[in-house]
Amino acid sequence: MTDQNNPFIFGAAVGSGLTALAVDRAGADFLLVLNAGRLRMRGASSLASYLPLRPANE
Amino acid sequence: MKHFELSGSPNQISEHATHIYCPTLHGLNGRQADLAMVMPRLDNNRALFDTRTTEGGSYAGVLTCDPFGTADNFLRRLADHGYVGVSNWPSAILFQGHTKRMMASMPATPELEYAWLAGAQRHGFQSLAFFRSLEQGRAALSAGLQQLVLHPGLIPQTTGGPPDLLIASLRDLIEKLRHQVGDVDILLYEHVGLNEAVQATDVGADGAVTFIATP
Repeated sequence: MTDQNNPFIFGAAVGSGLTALAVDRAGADFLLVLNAGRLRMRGASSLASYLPLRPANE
Repeated sequence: MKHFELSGSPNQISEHATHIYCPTLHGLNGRQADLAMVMPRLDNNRALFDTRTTEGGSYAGVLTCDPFGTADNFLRRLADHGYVGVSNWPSAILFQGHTKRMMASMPATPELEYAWLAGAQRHGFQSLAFFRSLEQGRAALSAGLQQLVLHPGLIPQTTGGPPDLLIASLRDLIEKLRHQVGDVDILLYEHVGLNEAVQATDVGADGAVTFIATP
């Protein structure tokens, strides 16, 4: 997506493989894989990522 | 005097105390244990079942505001695993200010925790409700809970003699709650920050909860 005329790079936060594929096809430069993303995909608030619900680094 | 031991170890620590197993506390010290609610280290509630069947009447330290799963199934599994009681630890009782408002939107509030514990009581569990303030204590009583633990709060340090003001305020808080409901057991969380200068007997509590660090 980036080129000489566009100095910005674009990233997208994803919570599943499906959205990662969609973001890749849309031409994003990088993916953000966040603990919150997994929880958001399951319908919880981003704030749930603070809680001891899942290991954040796995 | 009642005595509970809160620990991240699945094994009973002492024969003279009721064990509260809270997996997310494993490896934390007494001060870090206060922050367990905002440490996404593992799935606390799932880890309660990772060990062998619990024996000896242990309590489970439950993340009661888990947005996933259903309480009925979870409580049935706890009973099958041998737990006889539940406690709201890790807990939202220490949230203040902006954090408290944000987490309440999730929702993660002491009131929700007390409602969950009351539901567990209806399933036959004993309950142990942590609270930090008079308002929270009254909310726990209103929910029908009769075994409470007063957490003294995030204490920086108590040094240089007996902390008389703290003892007086904790004692006053306990007396006010007893005045509201006579038939209630109120225990003191003997926080590591108190340096053993304030104990359950000093504040007129019915017992104590002690945190036992596990390496």
